[in-house]
Amino acid sequence: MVLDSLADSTRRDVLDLVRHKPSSVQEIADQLPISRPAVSQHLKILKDAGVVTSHPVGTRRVYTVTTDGFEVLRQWLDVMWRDALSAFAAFADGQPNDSGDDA
Amino acid sequence: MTTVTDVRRDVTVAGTPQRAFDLFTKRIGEWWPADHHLATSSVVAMTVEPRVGGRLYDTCEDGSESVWGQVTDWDPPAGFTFAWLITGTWQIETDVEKASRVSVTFTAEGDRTRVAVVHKDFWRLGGEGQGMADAVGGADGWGSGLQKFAEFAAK
Repeated sequence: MVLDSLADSTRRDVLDLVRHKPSSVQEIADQLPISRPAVSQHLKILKDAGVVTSHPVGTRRVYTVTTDGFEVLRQWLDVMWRDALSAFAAFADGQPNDSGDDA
Repeated sequence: MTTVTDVRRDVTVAGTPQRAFDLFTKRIGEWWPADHHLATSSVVAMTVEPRVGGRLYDTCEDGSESVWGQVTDWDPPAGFTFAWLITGTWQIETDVEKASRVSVTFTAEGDRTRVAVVHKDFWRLGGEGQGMADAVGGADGWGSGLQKFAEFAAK
């Protein structure tokens, strides 16, 4: 769920802005080439995934990164190692059998 | 202490543990996913120094080196362990004691080798009472590495 929520590059841009500074939908829309409704949609997905949360400040609703961020980090590492090992397996199986034994 | 589950991944490859160990460590620059680097400029080489205390580092196009690991255990071909010198805020950690650990083991399975990675000891990142979650969730959280890691998530 977390990873799915981060699969979209625009959504990562939204998250990047929020993590730098707690922001309202309008503040985010002002900094990205997407509409306010689009920002809202991305924030909803991030919120559903538990990556961001929101709270009212005056008349605005401000979004911040959740303190579960570390779980996000862990999931990123999980995906990184999955991909790294996958890349390694493809590489190792593509090498001649005697390669690497020259230690 | 933040309790976080270890990250565990494994894969099997052709050949002996020695072959896998050597390909993994000596030729890491040839297989490591190109879009996963913390360095800001283009990475032209990756190095694992084969000894306890050895560095794991990227060499950038401009000649600079970006160290991201330090070997804490070196036992070829069974495996090796290194400190992952990247903090919860995606900055380079210079204090090995505050770095998480990555163990890579190579185990024979018939004529193939199982390569297993365990990324662990995340509690070390907590530091002196500073919650990892706070660090990640704070104003300076994540940092430039986010994009790089996210690229993987997108695949």
